[in-house]
Amino acid sequence: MFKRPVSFQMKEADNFDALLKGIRKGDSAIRKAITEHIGIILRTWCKRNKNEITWMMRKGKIETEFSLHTRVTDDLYSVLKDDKSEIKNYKHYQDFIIEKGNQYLADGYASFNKALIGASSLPWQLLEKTMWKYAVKWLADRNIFNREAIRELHYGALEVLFEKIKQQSLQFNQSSELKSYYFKILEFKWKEFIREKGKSHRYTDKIPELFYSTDESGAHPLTDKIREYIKQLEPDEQYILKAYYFFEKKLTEIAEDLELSPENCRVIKHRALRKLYDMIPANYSS
Amino acid sequence: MKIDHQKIEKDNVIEEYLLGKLPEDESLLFEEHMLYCADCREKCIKLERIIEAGGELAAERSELHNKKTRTLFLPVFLRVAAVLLIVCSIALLIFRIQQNKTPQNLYASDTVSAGNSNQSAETLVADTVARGPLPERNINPAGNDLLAESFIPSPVFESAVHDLYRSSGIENPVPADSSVVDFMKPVTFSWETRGNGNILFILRTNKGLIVRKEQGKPPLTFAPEKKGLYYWQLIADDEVVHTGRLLVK
Repeated sequence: MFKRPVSFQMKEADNFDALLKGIRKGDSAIRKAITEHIGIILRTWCKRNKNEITWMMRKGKIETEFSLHTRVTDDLYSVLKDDKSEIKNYKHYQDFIIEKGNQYLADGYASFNKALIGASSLPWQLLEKTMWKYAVKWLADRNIFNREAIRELHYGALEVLFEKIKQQSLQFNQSSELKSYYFKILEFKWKEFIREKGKSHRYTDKIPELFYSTDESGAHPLTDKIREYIKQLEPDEQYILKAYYFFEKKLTEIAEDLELSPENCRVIKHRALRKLYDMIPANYSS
Repeated sequence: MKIDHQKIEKDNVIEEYLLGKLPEDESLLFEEHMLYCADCREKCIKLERIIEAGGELAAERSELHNKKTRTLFLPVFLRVAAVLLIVCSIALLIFRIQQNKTPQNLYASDTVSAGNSNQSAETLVADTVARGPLPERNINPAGNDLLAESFIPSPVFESAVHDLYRSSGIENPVPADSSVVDFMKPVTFSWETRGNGNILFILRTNKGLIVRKEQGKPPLTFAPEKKGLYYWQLIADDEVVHTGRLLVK
């Protein structure tokens, strides 16, 4: 089991006062801990509020979700360094994170929307990549698993979205609104697909080039590594992880698919996670 | 409410938190706990990335979401039954092959040990007729051969029988062709020769196996120990000069 070096263990900061003291002393381990902690909170918060697209512009440069937490951490740090800071306990700390995160997301999203209307390729690529995952999941729930069909429906929906945004200069206040709009179009496309099943749709011919991502993965480096680790697992283990975490199937359903008992399924899932935990190097970067 | 490692482990708190299934009050408690607990933070980050990576892989290969189809979709008891059936079929097949062996085949298999592994039964018998005796081999009186098989005429020896006296010098062979003798009763073989050449006497089963081999002067007396069709041959100067047939009942 991975153990941090003693110098990185935060035994001293087991309460908020100790944490503040460490920050004011300039303890790098505590700064790292706070950066990790804020990252987790903000990412979970974004997912919970269906803010899948995090987009920020800083000094004319585009930043994605990975820099949101470092930006909030910088702000928090500068406030906490001050002895007269109003952040006295964890509740204050948390409110500060959410408030700042919200503000950056709203600002970032406004610039993202503007870039979408302006038909810049980067925001469209980000949108294509983000929505692809949701489209796969959404269509899987409707028994469409064929990759080609998913591609046609997804790009068909994006094409309509592209035209609507460009012609009507549609504004969305946050990414969850944009997502809902996309799904309305996707649903329409899906119904059309079901109705005219058998006829050939070739939406892909009309997709603007700017939809295609130039960057293959675009994911966090650790996520990229873990994708490779997952591929090394047993087929049943891979299936369980994907079905449980991505398609949100219940373990009983997965057990039926694999002709296993739910208890066996639980054990396989646990074993797969343990293997992955052990594979992730000790000096991973959050 | 309090949150500790025991609860986190038992209630799968990290997973529930990341999947958004943890109630809000517990989420807040867990988040606070994570600020001071490096282990939980580390586990949370790892699991978060695992979930994300799994999602990307699943989205990459959406077809993997299809219900898993196994190559052999059978319940366990049917699989066991299938294996038993295959084993029984193989056993039955081997048994049938053993049963269906023709006399010629048996002869061929008998002679394999004698060193002529690549020759057919017909060739071997014809060879014997032409060139003289096969290596001597005692027949097992108890014999595993089926009785009926012991009476099947050998086409090669039969043709030799009809060629009686094809070589001069042998006269009045006894017993006469197609004589019938009783099982375990002594049979006397005799013949007359014009010259004084050495004559080799060989008694064979219908499959060509040598029962007796004698170099000497007639009469010679034997009691066949097994029922069946026999052929007896007289050989002079490596040439078969007489072939007779004898039925032992």
